[in-house]
Amino acid sequence: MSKIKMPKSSPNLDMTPMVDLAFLLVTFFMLTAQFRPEEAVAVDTPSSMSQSPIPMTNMMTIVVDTTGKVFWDFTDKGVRIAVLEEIGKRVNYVPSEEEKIKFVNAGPIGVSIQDLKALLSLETGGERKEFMAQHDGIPMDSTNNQLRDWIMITRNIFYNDAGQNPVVALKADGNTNYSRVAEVIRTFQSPGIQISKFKMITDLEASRM
Amino acid sequence: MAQVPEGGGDSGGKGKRRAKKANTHIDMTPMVDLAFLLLTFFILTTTMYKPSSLQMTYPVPPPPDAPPPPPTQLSNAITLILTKNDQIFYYLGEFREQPTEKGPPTTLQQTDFSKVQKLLVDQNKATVAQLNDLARQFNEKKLTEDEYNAKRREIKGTKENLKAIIKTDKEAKYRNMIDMVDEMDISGIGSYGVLDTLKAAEQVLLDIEKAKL
Repeated sequence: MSKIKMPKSSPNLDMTPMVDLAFLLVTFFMLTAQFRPEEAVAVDTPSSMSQSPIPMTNMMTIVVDTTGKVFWDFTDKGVRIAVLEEIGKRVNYVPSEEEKIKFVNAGPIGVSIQDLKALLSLETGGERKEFMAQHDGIPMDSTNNQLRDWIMITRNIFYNDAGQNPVVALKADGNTNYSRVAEVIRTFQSPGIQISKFKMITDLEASRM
Repeated sequence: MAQVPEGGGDSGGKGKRRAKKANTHIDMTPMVDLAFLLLTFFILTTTMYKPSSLQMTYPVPPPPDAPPPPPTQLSNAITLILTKNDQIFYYLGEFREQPTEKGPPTTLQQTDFSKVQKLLVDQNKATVAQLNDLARQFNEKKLTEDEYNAKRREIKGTKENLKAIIKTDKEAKYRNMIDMVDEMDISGIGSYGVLDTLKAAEQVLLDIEKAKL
């Protein structure tokens, strides 16, 4: 046994490298965490036990929020621009390059075709969200079913390009009246579109068995 | 405990000109705690958002000029009507307004999502037992996953299996429908239809029952 007294001031364990490592990991996660694109419409999807994952590309999503407003969304930039140009023709609207870029980044779109130009003249996501909150989403009345137009145009453009139909998903808030969702499903089934297979987006729920 | 090398801790008492440096014992434990807290936060939040999806296949409606399909056998069916406040009304078999040789006029029974699973499993005992047997065999590795899925579909598709008709009234919420579709899966019902319109007579009965809620 050593008779030399250990000086009390020397540390038992130098933790500096561990702190370094912790900060390194924190920095790594901070940089690799990506923010979800700002939600143009807040939807709280109901939970289900199903586990099939949603694709991140080539998917058209129809969103229905709690008030029953209907929004259209598509994952890929090229298709979005093509759909915008095609749908603009119905109201003689030719979008500028700047407006096309805004459209690509705008997420779910929920305005009538007539209001598209006004929507795309707004600069920030917040302003667009506000605008859409004050309007009524994509019209889906029997005489003016614009949702049908959006879906048909998207499907045709995608099919011409890829030779197959895009994946179609339906995302609705748990508290949306089911009758509104049923109307969207009827639009899916209407002649000319006839989409009978689609995904309903839900949160993963712990097993209820 | 990490320590910053001491500066002038021991020069305090000597010459008056030497500036007395502060003793720099920094206890770094809280900082390490904070670093790990941040780390845990980021690890958990980047993986928590897991949207998944429910694959739905709806039958394509027949063209308007096609002959009407043969009426479906309803003796082995349960009709569930979803309505407000997560309530469910149901009846078994076909809807009877007047007493017939098959039974008295239909009345609606009330249940809700906490009890409907037991109800459906009770109604469908034979199939559920078969599915549980099959699951046990699968867990004991007697079947491959493909065989398991194929046999499951076969059992759920048999004619004797309970069928369900899910109807919604104007006040049902989307989440009620999704929960009901989940229940179909749990109780082994392979053949079910979803409609959002009710027969006039059904609506009348439903309104009477809802008034009692």
